[in-house]
Amino acid sequence: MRWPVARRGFWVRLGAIIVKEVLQLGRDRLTFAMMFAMPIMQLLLFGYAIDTDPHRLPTAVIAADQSQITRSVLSALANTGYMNFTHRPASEEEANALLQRGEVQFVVTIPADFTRRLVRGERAQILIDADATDPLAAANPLAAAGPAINQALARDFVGPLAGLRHRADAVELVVQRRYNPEGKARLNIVPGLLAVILTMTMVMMTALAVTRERERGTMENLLAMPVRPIEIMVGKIMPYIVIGAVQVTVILLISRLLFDVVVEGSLPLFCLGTTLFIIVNLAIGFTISTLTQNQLQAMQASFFMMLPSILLSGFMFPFRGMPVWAQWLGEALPATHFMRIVRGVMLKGADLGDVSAELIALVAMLLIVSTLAISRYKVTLD
Amino acid sequence: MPLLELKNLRRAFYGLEVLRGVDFSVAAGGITGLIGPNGAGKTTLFNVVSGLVPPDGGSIRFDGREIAGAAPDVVSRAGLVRTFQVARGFPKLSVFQHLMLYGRDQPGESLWQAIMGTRAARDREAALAERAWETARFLRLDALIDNPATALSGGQKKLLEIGRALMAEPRLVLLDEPTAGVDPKARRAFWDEIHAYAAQGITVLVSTHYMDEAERCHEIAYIAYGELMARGTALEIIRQSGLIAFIATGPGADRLAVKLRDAPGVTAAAAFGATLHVCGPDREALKQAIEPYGHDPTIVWQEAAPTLEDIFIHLMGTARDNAPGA
Repeated sequence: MRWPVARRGFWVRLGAIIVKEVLQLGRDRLTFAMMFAMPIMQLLLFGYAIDTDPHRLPTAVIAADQSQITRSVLSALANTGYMNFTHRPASEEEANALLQRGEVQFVVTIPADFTRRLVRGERAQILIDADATDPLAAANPLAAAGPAINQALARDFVGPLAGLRHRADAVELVVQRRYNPEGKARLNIVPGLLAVILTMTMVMMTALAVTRERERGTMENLLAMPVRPIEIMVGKIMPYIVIGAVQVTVILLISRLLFDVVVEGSLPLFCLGTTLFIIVNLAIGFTISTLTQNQLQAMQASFFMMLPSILLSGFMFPFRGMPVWAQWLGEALPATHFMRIVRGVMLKGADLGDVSAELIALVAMLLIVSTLAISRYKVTLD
Repeated sequence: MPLLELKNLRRAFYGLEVLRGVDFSVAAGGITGLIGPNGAGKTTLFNVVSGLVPPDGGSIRFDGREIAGAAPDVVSRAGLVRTFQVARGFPKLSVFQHLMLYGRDQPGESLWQAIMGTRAARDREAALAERAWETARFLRLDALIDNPATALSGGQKKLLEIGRALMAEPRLVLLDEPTAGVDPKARRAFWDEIHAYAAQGITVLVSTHYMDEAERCHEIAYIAYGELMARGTALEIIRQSGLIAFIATGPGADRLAVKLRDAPGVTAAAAFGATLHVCGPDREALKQAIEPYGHDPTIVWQEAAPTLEDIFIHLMGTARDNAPGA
């Protein structure tokens, strides 16, 4: 015997299922909103915020020589559009500190005997120290500096100096790529990956761990136990701190063994920054779990955190290449501050003073996010 | 003094009053059955009493202490523990780990003692492990003690739910429909165990839909539409109800249920196999209602004592008359 095949009514049945699906989706407003918000956010970030060729990078100038030619050289560098002379340090030490703290991208030094040597027909030097931790940010400004200086000098070499126009070695541009002399991208990427991996795993794992309990209904069991809500909250977060620490150890070992990336600076400082960053991310994950109803929403909300952390933190694209509004958004992300700590300590050997502002920013974020998480955390089923 | 005393307990959800001023008490050391139809407010009552849902008003006194609006962990620590209607264990934990999780006063919970493994922590851990084994044996879960909670049957999950509540060493345990979906043999075993626990001094408040289970309670409270409708032992409730019942037997007697259900003077007409139960508060009105069917020689009518079910269906009808929007 053959069973009757229900061919008739296919479109009606299909329509009914579609209507049911649309109704369900429409009533899950958060999921619905995120489906539209995510592509819009991507478009805005990629369209407006990302610039792989950053301009007007903060630059310190030590001009020990104050001649017309020196002014001409500095104007030429400024006119490339890549350098913005923001600092005038009094000494080389002060300039180094600015570079170490990441406050400037370049230090341009024009020695006191620069013009005198030119006039004497000797080779004169201009020094540019670049923070090359991000080779992408340093490459174009350094490439543009030489031709710009030569062009400017060609205009200034008149009268008795006219003979220098045809001497290619009249001025030597000495470039020092600090912290990453070979311009290896991996030196910049590997420490940055720590921030991205920890953001991805810590935020999402915590958000899902809590919403999973709620979705399965076991949160009721936890709440009805003789355990205080704060103990449930901290107890759910604590294991992930250990998981985060293991992740960091594995990444550091692989970085050292495969990519030859080591921690140049203080390991305790590195651990302090990392632990703080992990806790901030866990607190964010917990907050997400208090704002979302189920695991799908928690996952989507976590992506909202992750995407800007990858794009706006300076991990993939130079931070200073972004417009001011995007930089402010970036400053609100823990990954941005941890990126500076981890790159500073690992590549530049930065000390506590160099990264204290970033540590304070992370502590402030932890306080704000924890307050939000605690205020949102419900100890009842209401 | 009752162990649990509720006064004028109220709770509404989105404007719908689920608890409408419930006054109710549970005596220490007994088993009180809370029965009522679906949506009567039984689970809400449990949620409010256990602190999972704050009340809108009223008083909840447990062992003389006011606990209305207290957080669930505070209520739990005070010795009032509950189970849930749908038994959901932590899927990756074994039966033993579930039981251990709910053990009280674990010094090993302090980070320092857990790391140091102090003697006090080890001793308490060992005592709790022994208690967990005892509880598992009592609930006949000892053979499954290392199995994950997900591997248990529905009935076994219910037992584990009770086990974890008992591990918290409660003075009062609220069991929310603990035998729903459990086979009759397991239900009987379960009730034997509940009586054994009550004999140890644990007070039990149990919600159920089953009348045979209600009859096994020391006292019954009937709740419908957020109000307490009746209270007492099964016999007291039957006696107080003043309900008259007639039973009809014979071929086709059960089919009269449809005809009699809406007849004047009849509050309930229900078929049980080939027999028919017809109830009403007034004997004469009831007799008049069944009179047209009394001439059929194949059907025998007899007056009988109403069952608990008859009474609760009758009370439900009364409550519906009083319910908002009725």
